[in-house]
Amino acid sequence: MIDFIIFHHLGILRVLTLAFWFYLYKKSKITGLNRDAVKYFVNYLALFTVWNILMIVTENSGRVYLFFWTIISIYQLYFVLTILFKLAGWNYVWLEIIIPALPTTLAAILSFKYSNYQPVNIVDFFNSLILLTSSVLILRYILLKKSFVENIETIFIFSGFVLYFILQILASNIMTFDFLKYWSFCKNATLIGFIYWIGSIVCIRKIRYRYS
Amino acid sequence: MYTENQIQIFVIISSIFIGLFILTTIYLIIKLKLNSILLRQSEEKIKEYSEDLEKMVEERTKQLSKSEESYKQLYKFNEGIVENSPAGIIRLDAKLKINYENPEMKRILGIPPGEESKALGMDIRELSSVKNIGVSSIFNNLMKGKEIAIENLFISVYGKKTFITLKGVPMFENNKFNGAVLLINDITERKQAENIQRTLYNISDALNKVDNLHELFIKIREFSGNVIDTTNFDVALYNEKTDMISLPFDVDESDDFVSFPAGETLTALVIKTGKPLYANRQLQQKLAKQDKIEVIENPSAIWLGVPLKVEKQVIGVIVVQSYDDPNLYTEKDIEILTFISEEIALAIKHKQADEQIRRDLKEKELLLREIHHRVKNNLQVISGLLMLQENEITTKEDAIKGFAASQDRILAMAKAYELLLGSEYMSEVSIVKYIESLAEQLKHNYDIHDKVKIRYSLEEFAISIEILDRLGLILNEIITNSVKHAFEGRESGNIHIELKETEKHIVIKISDDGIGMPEDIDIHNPDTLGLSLVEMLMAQLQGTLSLDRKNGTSFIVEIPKESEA
Repeated sequence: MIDFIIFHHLGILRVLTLAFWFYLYKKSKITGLNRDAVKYFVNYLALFTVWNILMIVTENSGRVYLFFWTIISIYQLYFVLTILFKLAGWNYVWLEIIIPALPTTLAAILSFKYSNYQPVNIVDFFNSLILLTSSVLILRYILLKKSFVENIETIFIFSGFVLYFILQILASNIMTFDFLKYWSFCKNATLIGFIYWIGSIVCIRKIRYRYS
Repeated sequence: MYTENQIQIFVIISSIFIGLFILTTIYLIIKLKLNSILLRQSEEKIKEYSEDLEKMVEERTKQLSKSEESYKQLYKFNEGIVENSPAGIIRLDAKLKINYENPEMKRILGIPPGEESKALGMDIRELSSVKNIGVSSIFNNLMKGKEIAIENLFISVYGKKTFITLKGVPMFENNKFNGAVLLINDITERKQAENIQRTLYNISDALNKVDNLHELFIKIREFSGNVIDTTNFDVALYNEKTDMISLPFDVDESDDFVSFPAGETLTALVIKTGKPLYANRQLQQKLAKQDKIEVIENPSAIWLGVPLKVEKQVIGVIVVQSYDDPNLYTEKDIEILTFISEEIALAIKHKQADEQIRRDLKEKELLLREIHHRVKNNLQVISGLLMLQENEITTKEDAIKGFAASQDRILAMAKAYELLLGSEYMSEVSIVKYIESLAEQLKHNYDIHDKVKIRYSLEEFAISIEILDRLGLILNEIITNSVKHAFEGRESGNIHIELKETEKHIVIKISDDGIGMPEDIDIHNPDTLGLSLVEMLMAQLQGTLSLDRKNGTSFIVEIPKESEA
């Protein structure tokens, strides 16, 4: 049992996180961009869950991994950039998503062709930088220009992303030297992110209850 | 050393703690941030609220100021209404104690100007003036929430008598009796007018029912007592011929005159001026100083006299007076007394007219009886005359002449009654008209218009029909005698009839310038019917008949004025 938990604790937490945030999405009276952010986040978690399940089913198939990595990486970019563009009031152009999606797709193809995860990891690193920067900007916009309480869900989602991407970047740097040795550290960065997002539900409810 | 699993568990737990720590930190930061935002928002809201509040306070202050001004104006308006109301207003508190009286109410109560009412602060039910008229219990209805209405004579603590109508309206606050407002109208004048009307009606009624003037005056005094004090009440009538004032009705505490010379009295002054006089002692003294009236021993404290006028002529004065109370009458009472005086004047006029009618009726009754008597007498006279005439008739010519003579005699008698018909008084006739008419009638009968001229020198006076019908027969005989016999054989002649009145006698002289009466005829022992008749009638009239034979014939008839004929 302990082994199962140790092995699948991330998957379990991801499902829990998905359940909590889906419940929040359905029951809370959140509106506008905040609602979009929650919806995209739930979809992101759902995609991850599907990826995990398929990874278990296909016993860690490399092709499945690369396919879902590409899908999720592009979805992440789409999710974060869409929110950023809408918050900033910039003109939304699909090409702007397509451009950062190109290296991801290319990296996936290269990794698949040479059976080497190095291109993926490198692109993952830079994607993390883009997503971190975008998340920081989103937080900045919300904190400076939007209602704090009304967008509290978005704040917790993106502060979680900031935490997650910082840890990811740190892990990726370490992994660059010795990926396999420090793989568990990267896993734990994800764990911290999920703990943060699950705990956020309690904080959001408290804040909503207190300040609405 | 630790196994790989142990390390992994440790790392997972550490990661959880790290995650929770970061979460808690972020949560605390967010909470702190939120608190500061909320604080700022609260401050802003407080600021907004305080600004709104300030605005509201300012607006409310303005509204209050306006309301206060409106209230002040309304208060002044209401105060103006209450202060100048033609109705008296009293406000009672919850215990029915008087806490306000308006100026009109003070006037109704007779409170001297500038003096505070004695009734303020007193229970209205305890006021002696309210107790006296027995309406105290009615005011309890106000406390039960009922309106009240009273109409009564009210005598205030200041002694003022006033007829009032009172309407009381209860006031409530939170369904609890809070006091009442009383609206009082002074209806004294209306009541007085009603009293005067009733008095005048009673007087008019008495005028029709009471025959005797004195009894009527008693009734008038009794009825007038309802509107004016008639303790001393005189009706004085003025006789212009004698300049005397008679008192057909006099009720006086001080004197008991029946009549007195008009002289310089207050009554005479009213008669002279024809205007009412309200004379208090000061005015009486002033009039005495001006020699308009004489000073009398026991002057009235107040004297009120109003002229009695019949067809604009002052026939007397109605007087009320008091010897001890100078405030018994006011100048307003002149009006009341004037109304009464008009009725009294009318009564006197009616009674005088009534008495005149009664006198006239009595006279007519006597006259009718007299006429019956005269008709009987005259018929007897005519019968006698015809009987005398009968003795004279021997031939047919004598009969014709006799009838003519008798006709003249009857016409002579009728002439007096003919004139009597046209006379103003049914018992007296103008003798001048009678003599002229008789003479002209005879001239006509004997057709001597051209032959004989009759001249008249007659004094006018009235003579009673009793004397005239006999005197007429006498004159008829004498003038007929002249007309028939004096101018026989002549172509013309003159007859002069003179009439004059001496102190005690009526003297008639009938002269003609004819051939003169034969010497053998003695007028006192005549053998002719005519002269015998004259002699007989003269005896009846106790008169004397004399004859003058110079220059024709002159008969002088002298009869006393007070003949018993």
